[in-house]
Amino acid sequence: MRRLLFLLCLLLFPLAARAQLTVSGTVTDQQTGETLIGATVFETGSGRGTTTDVNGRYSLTVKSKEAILRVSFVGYETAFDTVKQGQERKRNYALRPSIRLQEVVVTAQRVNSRESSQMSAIEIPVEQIKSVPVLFGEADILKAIQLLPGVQSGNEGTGGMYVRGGGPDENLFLLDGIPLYNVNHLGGFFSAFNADAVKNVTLYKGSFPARFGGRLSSVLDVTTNNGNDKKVHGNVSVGFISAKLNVEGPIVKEKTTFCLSARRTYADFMLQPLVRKMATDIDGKTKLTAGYYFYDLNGKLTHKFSDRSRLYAMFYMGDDDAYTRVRTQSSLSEDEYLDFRNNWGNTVGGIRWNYELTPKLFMNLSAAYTQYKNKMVVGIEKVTPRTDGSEQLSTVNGNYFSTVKDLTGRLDFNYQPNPDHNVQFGAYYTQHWFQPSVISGSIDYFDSIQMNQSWQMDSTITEDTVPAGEMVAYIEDDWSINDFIKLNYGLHMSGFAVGKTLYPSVQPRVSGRVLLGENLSLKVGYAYMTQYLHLLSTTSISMPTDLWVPATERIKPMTAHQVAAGAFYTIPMVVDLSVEGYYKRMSNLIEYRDGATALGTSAGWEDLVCMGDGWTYGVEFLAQRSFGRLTGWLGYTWSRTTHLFDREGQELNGGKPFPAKYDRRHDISIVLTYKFSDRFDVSATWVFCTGNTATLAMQKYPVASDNPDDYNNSRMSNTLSHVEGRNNFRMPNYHRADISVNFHRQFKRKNCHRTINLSVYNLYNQKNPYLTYTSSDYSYHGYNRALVQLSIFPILPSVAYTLYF
Amino acid sequence: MKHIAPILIAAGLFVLASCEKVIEFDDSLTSPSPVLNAIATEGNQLFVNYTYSRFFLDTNNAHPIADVDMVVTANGTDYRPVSVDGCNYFFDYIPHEDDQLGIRVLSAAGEASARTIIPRNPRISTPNVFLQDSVFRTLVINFNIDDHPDYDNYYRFTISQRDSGARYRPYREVYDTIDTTYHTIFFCFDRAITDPTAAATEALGGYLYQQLLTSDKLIDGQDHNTTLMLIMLRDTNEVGTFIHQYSLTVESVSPERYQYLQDIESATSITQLLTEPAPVYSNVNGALGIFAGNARRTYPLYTVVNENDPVPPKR
Repeated sequence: MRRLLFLLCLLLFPLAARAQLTVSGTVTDQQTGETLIGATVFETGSGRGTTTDVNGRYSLTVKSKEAILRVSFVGYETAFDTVKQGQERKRNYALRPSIRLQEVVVTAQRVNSRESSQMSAIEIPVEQIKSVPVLFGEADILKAIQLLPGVQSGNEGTGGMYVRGGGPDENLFLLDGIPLYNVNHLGGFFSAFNADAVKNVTLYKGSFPARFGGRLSSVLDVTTNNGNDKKVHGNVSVGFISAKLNVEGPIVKEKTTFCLSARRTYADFMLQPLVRKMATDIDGKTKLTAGYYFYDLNGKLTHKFSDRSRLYAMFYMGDDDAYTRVRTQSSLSEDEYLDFRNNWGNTVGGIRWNYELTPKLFMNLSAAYTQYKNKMVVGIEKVTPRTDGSEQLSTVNGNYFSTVKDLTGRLDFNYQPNPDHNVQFGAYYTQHWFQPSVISGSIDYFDSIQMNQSWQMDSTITEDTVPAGEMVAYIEDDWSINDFIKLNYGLHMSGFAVGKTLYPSVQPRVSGRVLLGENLSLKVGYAYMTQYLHLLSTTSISMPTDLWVPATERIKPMTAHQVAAGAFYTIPMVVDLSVEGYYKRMSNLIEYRDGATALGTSAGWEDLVCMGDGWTYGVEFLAQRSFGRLTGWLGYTWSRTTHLFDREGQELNGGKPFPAKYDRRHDISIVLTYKFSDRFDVSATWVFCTGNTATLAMQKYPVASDNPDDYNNSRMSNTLSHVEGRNNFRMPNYHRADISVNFHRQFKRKNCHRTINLSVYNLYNQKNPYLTYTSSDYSYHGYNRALVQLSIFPILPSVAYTLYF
Repeated sequence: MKHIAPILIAAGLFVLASCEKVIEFDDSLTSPSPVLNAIATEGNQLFVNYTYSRFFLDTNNAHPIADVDMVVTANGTDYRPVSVDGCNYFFDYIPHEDDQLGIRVLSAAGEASARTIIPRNPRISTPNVFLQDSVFRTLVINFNIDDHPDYDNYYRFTISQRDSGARYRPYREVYDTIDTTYHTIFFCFDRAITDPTAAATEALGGYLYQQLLTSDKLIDGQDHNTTLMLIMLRDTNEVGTFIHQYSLTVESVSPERYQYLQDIESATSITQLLTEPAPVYSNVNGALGIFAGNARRTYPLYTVVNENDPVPPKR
């Protein structure tokens, strides 16, 4: 530890180098006042520069008395400025959006791919996310992310992310820097991120900057809009399954802004006639009310005290709600009502103060709260006639509730002493509360037929809330050693206290870049990650009953070492090419023991799981075109992921290695957008991936019995499955093409236009597997049964209308 | 709006009609394995079932294994099959308590061998087993089980229920092992068989059973008064009260069979739908299956009409 700190001090020593001219400020959109994240500010003379941070701020120190600065951002016209020593050093730049929209770059791009020392990171502009054709035409951030190399999707249509061999619980989802525990709606078919509210999306798959931690495989950093500080505007959208509203504008012009986005599905209204008819078809007497919806509400308030001081406050609420109410009438003239309601979702709130202490030193002070909850209510009401003619009400109620809550306090600094260094450091503390399950039930029952008596019961079973503290300190420096070599190095130090156990962790991070000529760079990176939380999931799709639990004395935190290396080559004005290879070694992974599962309760979960190791390696190739009318990318990933659970008493698969559930050899995605004119553009995607693995028992044999006759029948119920190996079977390959067409029209009224989106999901109606089972309705190679796959999404056209005002 | 339901139904049918497809796969990846099963029950003639496992889509009867040479050794004496019926091999040997058994098979499927013991019979010294009939039917079992000096005792409790009429109501249950002296078994009403043929078939079968597995590590060989609370809501069917007949079977099982039964319980539980298929325990070298000893006693259960009646009826 001392050696590491000494090394760090040694490396930071060059920061003392004296500079001559420092310029700082913000870069914004000229029309909306929205800060631009990742805009570049370069000194043309030295070629040295910097990029704006998440607040749109930059600081640049140059070693000359006069400098010509070039300020640029994707989709905006480049600005130039001359700064002389002694002039005002505060420089804010408002960039004008490019008027030649058809040539604007809108595609996924590696973060400053060739120039930056950062590797394994990809930023997707929101406009690209909105143009990618997706299920039911619902723009979805996670679905767009799944099209990137190194990221695999889960089941058909779901938003599960498997990044470089990691599980879906190994991704850190940050919404304005605050973790979200559940990022899915409806089992993962839709994500919790409303694209209308989002400004910037960056995915880190490896070589993680030291400021990030807490998950093994990826960080998805999502930043929401601050709001237009010039005028109120927004958009209304009506789609196949949902309606959306987004409004933003100034409360005090150029001082205080707001941004409000809301989304709600209305399938529950649309399907109500069908539900009623289904109920009527049962016996003519049953009445059924059932439905499902989800909503999201994003809000953000930004106040600018001065150029040096800004305050941000944000909140997010997103809930899923499934409900059923059945009324039946028995022959004894008893009315019975059965109610079921399941409600789950996130509540997030945060406040952040961004302050420029000096032109070289920025500070962020923030506090955040995040909660995920799942609530289930089952109720039965029965109205029974008494012998005296009156009515007696009987009720049976059951409730289930689980939640995880975090409260975080955080202080971050960004220090740019000279053009060669950009230092970020900070610390935060998170208090977690895990309440796995609270189950309560009450019965007030009247039995008129046999007992003619009533009885009551009321009880609550509560699992203790488990508190846990997580403390983190980090420091990282982005160091330009010379014109060719750049290094990003840092330390992420964390500790996790749960019960009487404290897990400390020192996680070094380093990545470097070497420029080889004008268009070619090589990069290498290493990151050590620790994850203190585990997700107990019963299925491969996201379920509300999935439970987050902390590491314990018995179940250690998961860790991963990842190394990566890559080459980045640019053919100017044609295409950017990159290839990255990685190897990741994981420890203390958890899986359920054979035959075990935890459904909705974590009681005794440590006995249900076992710990093991895993390793994954692969190669990712990305070719992206960012110029001209045709933009898009081609991504290909070859990978292999293996797990090994061979610790004593914790063996799986007989202690032998087995392929992970999300092990896929090939993954191809092609995303293309062609802009015919300002009024008409077309986007298309095609994906192909090797099928998921699954455990299929291909042999069966009789259950032992002491009755000889039991062996002389072939009833399936009297047989056991012989499992020859975990994940021994591979499902059929998955492939699918989607297309969407956008028609834009500018109305006569100024600044008002509309977009009609027509999209087709699964264009050639490919039957991709969602799940498999054996069925006697089919035959297979002479057998009167067959293994059958169920596909849930055939060709699905959809339409959406968006009005911008 | 008036026609939206038929449109939605038609759209739904279109979706459903195109959602299933037979999977083509390489079935040469798997080959049948030999399976040896024998539950050597105290007092009953020993037989061994020896067969091949079947491809999982195969619904035909068992596949016999050729060229079988099978020897069972009991307390040092070798026995060979006296008759063969299909894949069942019968021996002129009746197991007794504490017998040490071994089996060795040579066949076209290779060699297989296993060992087990015949456990001692459960000795329920005070078989006061009765039901308190209230809204919840409460089963009270007073018992004492001898602890075996040489090996672990494992027990299986099976509660059987038979209705007297043609209508038969099966129950399925969720349960776990005894961990305190007060244990709750949840019986959930599953379905009512209304089809007369199916009902008759089930009735001929006679019993549906509920099982409870435990070991003497949980029942430490001392006197016990264990109450099992059966959450069986009373029938409120308009045809009247059924006359139920219950019986309790207590089995001593060998350690191998205990492990085997636990795996089966896990493999066939309702939560299995959400878990990976898992291998079932086998103590046979060279084959799948189980070679295990067993001993059992069955006791009738009596119903106490008045739940406050402290005295169970005499047998």
